[in-house]
Amino acid sequence: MIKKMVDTLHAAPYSSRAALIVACLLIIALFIPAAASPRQIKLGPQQTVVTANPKMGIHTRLTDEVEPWKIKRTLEMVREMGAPWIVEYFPWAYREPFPGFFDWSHSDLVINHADRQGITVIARLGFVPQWARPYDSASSYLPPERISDFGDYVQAFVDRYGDRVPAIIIWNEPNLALEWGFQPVDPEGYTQLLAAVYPRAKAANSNTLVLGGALAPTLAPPGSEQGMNDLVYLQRMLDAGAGEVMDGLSVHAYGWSFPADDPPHPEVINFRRTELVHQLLVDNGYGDMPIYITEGGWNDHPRWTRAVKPAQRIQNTVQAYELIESWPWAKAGAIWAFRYPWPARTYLDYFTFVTPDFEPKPIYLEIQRYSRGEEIGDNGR
Amino acid sequence: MQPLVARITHHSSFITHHSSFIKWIAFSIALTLLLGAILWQFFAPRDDGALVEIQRLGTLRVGLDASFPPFETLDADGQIAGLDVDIAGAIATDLGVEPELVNIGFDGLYDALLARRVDIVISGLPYDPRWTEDVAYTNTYFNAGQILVALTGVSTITAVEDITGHTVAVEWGSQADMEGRRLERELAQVTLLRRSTADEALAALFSGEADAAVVDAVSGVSAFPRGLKIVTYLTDEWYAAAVHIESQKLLEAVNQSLARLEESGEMAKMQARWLHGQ
Repeated sequence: MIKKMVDTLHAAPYSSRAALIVACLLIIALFIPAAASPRQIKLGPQQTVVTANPKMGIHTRLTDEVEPWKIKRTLEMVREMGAPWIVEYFPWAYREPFPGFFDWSHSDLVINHADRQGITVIARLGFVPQWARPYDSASSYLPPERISDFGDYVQAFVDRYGDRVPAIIIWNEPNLALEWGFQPVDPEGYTQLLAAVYPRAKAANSNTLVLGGALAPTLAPPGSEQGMNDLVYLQRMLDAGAGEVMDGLSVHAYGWSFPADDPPHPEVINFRRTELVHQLLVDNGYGDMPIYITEGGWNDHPRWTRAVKPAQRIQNTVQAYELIESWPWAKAGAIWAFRYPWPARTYLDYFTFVTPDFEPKPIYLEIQRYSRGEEIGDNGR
Repeated sequence: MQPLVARITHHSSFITHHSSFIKWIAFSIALTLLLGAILWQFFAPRDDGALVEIQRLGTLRVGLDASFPPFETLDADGQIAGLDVDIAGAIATDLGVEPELVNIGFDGLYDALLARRVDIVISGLPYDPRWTEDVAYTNTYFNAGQILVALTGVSTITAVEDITGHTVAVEWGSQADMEGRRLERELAQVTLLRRSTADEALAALFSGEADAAVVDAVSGVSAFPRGLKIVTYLTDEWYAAAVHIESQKLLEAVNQSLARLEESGEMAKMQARWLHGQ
């Protein structure tokens, strides 16, 4: 048969042969990038997370991770650490670079690999594309007339991933001016944003939970240009009707230099401030509203004023996971952050559990022992 | 043999040919130098005149974070003191000016330098290649990496391989712990003893609970007078001062000053005072 094909080729006119060769080369050229494409990283077999604490989570930083094998390795290591939850950021500007044109390639990678590792993803949505805001504005500025465009993104996201992403977070820390387009913070305005996107998410998948954006824990005084006290902001959100347009609330719970069990107090920023947030929901008739801790933890930089010793960071983190497990109203708790794609070269590097080249830090190994029900610390080792 | 006329003609032709070749070479060299000079104008490091301005004002503004003893901290009188302060003073003296210490949080040091709020940062600053587009680092003056230490005169540990079969103390969760775990993986029968702080890890070494310890060099060197020796550096973290990338003449002057301090033994004396308590 091959001989017949070769004979036919020889018998063909020169121009036809040339055209055939060019066509073959074009077909080969099409396959070369596909074969070399990093997207060919295999998902691998279906895995499950084995853990002693099913509420354990961690915030990953895969938004800027371009290499698929690193996305896969990150999620493998999260599973191996024993965390069944991750929180990840899916910027609107990256997914919809032009109006109506959606590029899901990167988010597909993250969610497919997380799904295959048996990890549940909570998705944070935000970051306004340039086409949806004035030229010289910040990416956290959403003009009121563009809220429906953001709603389009939310609906498209939930439509695509709603069966695998059970909860989405709308915006991030809107009680800070820098997260609210450097405009004066506006709890009522944020509530309007929630009210606008809530039905869009539900239209795509009625089971998807819409979480109120986590507020930055802050003691900013009244009238501050930087932001608003988180408890004050939440009360004003609830007064504006936010309780009816969110299914749960995400919370940021940083411990700074305090131990995890430091008692809550309105004038103190510590991990158990989360209990004050819950109490505020109770006081407003939303005691059943679930809370998801979507950032939090401690830093062990040797020279940062808000840092703790590495040993304290490990102990605090374990204790925080235990507290989350004990709080019936807390559904999951994600500590910041698993790994950065590259070193920040600041104190921020000391929030991570794994180095950029995937070397586990001692805190990773100790949390892994905790998730396996083993004793941590230096006793007996 | 060629006739005389033919030889003269040939010679003349050779000279003519050779002469044009020399001209061509000379022209090429001149053109290259000209192009080089033009490129130098565009790409040579420019000097911002910082050194001249410092000497005109008589003050060297030094950025540091006074929360990192023994490099810089507040003493009992509330004055900033430490190894870096002494280095800054020596450099200022060499420049013929007075040092002005500007206390800034560690994460704001580079911004202060780039915003021209300070002329130089001397603050236990680790060399970081990612900043080299914006700042120029001086020669390094201290390696703060992780060190394997043992007791002087008692320990037989003289190389990293010698810790096989021994107990090594580390600060739990720290970079030293990471290095310790690596040694545990790579060498046979290494037992790690984890303590809550670097000081407690060193105390375990002095009490005999451990045969060696891994600590950062800043923690380790302060214990030298108690009979500690560095077996080896396991990692490097070099400290240097930094100036604005355009302050090239200031950089040159500071490097000369640092070299003088090294050669004269003054740097060793300052380190002995602040790091070893001598």
